[in-house]
Amino acid sequence: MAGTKWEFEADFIQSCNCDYGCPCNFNGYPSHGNCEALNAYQIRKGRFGTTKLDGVRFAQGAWWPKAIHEGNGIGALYVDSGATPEQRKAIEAIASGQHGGGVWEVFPKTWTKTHPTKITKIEFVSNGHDSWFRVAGVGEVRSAHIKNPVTGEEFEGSIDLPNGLAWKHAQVTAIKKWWIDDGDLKASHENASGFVTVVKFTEKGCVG
Amino acid sequence: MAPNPKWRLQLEQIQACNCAYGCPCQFNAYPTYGQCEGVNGYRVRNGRYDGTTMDGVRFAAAVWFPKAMHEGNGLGAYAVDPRTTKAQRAALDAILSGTVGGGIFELMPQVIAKWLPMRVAKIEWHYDDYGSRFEVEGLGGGTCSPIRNPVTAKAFESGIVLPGGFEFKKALVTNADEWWYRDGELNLSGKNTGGIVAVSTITEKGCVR
Repeated sequence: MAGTKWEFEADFIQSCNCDYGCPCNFNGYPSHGNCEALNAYQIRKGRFGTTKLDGVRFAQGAWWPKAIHEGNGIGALYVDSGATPEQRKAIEAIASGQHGGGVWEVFPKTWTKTHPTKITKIEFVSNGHDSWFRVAGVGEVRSAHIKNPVTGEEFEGSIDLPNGLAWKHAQVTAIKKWWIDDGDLKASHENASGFVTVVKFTEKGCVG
Repeated sequence: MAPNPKWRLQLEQIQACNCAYGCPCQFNAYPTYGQCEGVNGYRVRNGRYDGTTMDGVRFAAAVWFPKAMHEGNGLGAYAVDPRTTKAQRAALDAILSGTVGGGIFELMPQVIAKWLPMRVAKIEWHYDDYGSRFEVEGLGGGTCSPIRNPVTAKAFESGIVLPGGFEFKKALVTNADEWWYRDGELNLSGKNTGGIVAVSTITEKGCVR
């Protein structure tokens, strides 16, 4: 299976415990020392070898004691119960880091512990800044516009990362609330950093 | 009162502050370390204020706020290059007063409680994206470089896009290697902190590009 060609385009929602805009995206250090995150993907169109991945939803929970690149993290993969066994295996293969793919290859190297994959219902609503997802029994992420603290107006900002491992361009959002409660992955945050975007990956990395 | 004069400055801007890379304040977050400290250098690529040509005018700002910028109570200072003509200086004074529009230049006087007297000091200027630097003789300055990937040490490229931005619409994110400003009560310095470089167009209506 090594050397399998794969690709997908997906709607993506990211949450973490950093300040808005997440300085880690710029190689800064986590705003509050450690890094906690719950992210989800809904594939628009994709394949892993000959397995079609259209419509597959999956999520990743993660924790690191310091910055991601300093390692010693914990990772968990959640795949929607609507995925077929072949699709589940494909997502597990991609998330294992054995098949390239930029952030997919990098994250497992920074984890010293990985939870067994959980199959559970994942709801995912892609709606720009107001996107949200829920991983049944595990956690939930609700995104919204950041508000201007003076005028209360909805704020729009985005980040360009031409060589980004996880995305090349994303809208910066406020995660109104997110939480995860899955064994040693346990966190709950309000008004924390969020991103929404559409990402494209192949075995060569993030390509859009 | 007379209607606002029309003006337009295309500005190179080099910014360094005490925040983490990317400065979360750009996204309405709070300063990484509680307070806000920073220096900004500007050079007008081309511009005019009423009938005055502003091409080449160089100026700099240093600010300190006890909390987030929008919470006010700031201390601020400006410096202008001695090659600035009297007419240009008058135009710049008007713009920086906050009474003739101009986005960030209009907002700043609303959050600065005390301005130090404007200094006239030679400003060395080198705008080169991630490798930009400026120095205000005897007062301060800033030098930036690409942020380095902490694992591979490769130069890192990134940008911030703010469609409603009143200071810039698009900027590159840099490492502010070293920056400082010392004038009276202002005694600011930092190393390897958040940096921003941008080329923006600001008019009496605000930041338009």
